[in-house]
Amino acid sequence: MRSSPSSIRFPIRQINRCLQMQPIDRLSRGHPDEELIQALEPDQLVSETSKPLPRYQLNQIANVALWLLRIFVLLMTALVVYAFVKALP
Amino acid sequence: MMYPDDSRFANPARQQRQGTPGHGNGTQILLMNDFLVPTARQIAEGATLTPEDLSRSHDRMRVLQARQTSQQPKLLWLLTGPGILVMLGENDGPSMLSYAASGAIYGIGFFLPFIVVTFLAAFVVQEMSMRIGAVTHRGYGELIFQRFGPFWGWMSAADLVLTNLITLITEVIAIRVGMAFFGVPPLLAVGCAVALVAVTSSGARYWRWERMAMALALFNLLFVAVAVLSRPSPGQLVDALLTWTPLPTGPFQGFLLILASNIGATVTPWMLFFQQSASVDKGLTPRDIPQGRLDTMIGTVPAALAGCAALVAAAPLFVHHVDTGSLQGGAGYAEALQSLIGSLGSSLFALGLIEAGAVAMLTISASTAYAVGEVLGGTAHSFNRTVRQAPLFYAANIGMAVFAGIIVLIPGMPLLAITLNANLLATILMPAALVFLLILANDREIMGARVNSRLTNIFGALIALLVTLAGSSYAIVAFINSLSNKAN
Repeated sequence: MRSSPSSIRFPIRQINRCLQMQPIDRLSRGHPDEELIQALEPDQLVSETSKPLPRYQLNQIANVALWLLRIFVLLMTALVVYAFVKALP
Repeated sequence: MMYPDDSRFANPARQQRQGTPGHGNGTQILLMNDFLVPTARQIAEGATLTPEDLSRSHDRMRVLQARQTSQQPKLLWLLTGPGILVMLGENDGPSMLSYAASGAIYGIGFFLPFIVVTFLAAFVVQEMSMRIGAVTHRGYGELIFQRFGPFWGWMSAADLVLTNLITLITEVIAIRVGMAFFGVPPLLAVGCAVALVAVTSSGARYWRWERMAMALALFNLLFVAVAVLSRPSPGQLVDALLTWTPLPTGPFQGFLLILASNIGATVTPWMLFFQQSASVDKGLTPRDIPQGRLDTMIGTVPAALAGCAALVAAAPLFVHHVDTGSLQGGAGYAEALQSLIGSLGSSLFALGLIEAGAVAMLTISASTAYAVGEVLGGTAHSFNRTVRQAPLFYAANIGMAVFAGIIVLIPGMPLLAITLNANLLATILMPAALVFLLILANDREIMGARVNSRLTNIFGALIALLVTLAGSSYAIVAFINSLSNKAN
């Protein structure tokens, strides 16, 4: 389905008209004209970005490295907090 | 039809979610006027439009119009924002005090070029952040949560909330001490700080919020005026930049504290969360990456200039051997500089401190709000929503500011100690955030052809190593010293 080039370029008036409506009006009028969202990429729509991505497959070495890094960071934080508390008047 | 280098259709994860074009699963996507358009059928099959989509499409229309008519300056104007804000926002209260402390304790020497290097490091990191946001259309917290699971997602969010809360407290302190220089009472100063966050985020449009914050951020350059008023020797500045001398002398723990604080002043977890989420909220796409990169560079230059200016402005304190021990609360610097560079210079320093705190309050509370919305999933998290549509987002945004304000007003709080340690905490927690950023930026499944180059990976790894070494060295030395002090 392809719109005519003149109608798909910059339908700013339509967008403005749409933005001036109350949100409930905008969303309750059925499917909005596709021209309204042509400026967005398909996966930019909120309905698309709310779909979770598949999990990253971390190998065991990477998993252990992340855990070691986390433990290291927590340990360093504990040292700094201790020094901070001790330095208080 | 698709872009030859467009990663979106080169990665299996997206093909799985969206369907491959031309494979007849009902999600055919057509290329029209140089951009991809969801078909009516795609919309009919569940791609519901939200007010956030509509607001964003309005902004994107202007970008497409500028691109199609080859109006490069207008295109850049429309696409700049997150990079400038994140860089100037990071020149916050504790950061400017950290740079000033470097100048006041060590003079113009080692730390002048060091600050320039830290800003270059910040550029490398923030460019990755912007690129991931533009390609995936998801925030940093959201990606960690989805790609690595809830445990790492919550850990990242906890790191962020902790550092942001402490940093926000220091921003309020900066505003409070800056206003105290002009005789404004603490309660009024804190009230103004919180009101600023509430007022700027009340427009329900990302574009409006961003432009207000950017206008305020320009005043960061006040520090350049203060530096000029301190009449530095140009020869000494050039010499320091080229030779990194004179080298710092004095206690090792003090040197490590300033070193780690300066790193924490330019490379921090909230910056990753903020720029990625703001790029998503602004609607950046892979085609906008060159402009996004330029935006980050445009932000880096004045931010580095202002950071170096704060060091240069406070250098007269080093020359006149002023004891800096009692100055690091903030207003002390402005007052101490009064007799050395005049009342105009000291007033500008105090104003700069207020501005630094104010801009950082906007960006840091926004980064917290984005992160809260992202990790809670299914919750609206955009400035393109109204308060009614995104109550949690606005509650986190304004709530953090209110909480920080209350803490600052509690009598007897160790405000000076909190200010000194805020950047340090960011340095300590940064390695974990950097490692996840590097993994995400090399994740072909979501980034496709826009993964990091080998050079970016080398720089990224070096930055992670430098940050880890600086933070852990200070932590170990400070711990050993506190034990020996206890023994004495």
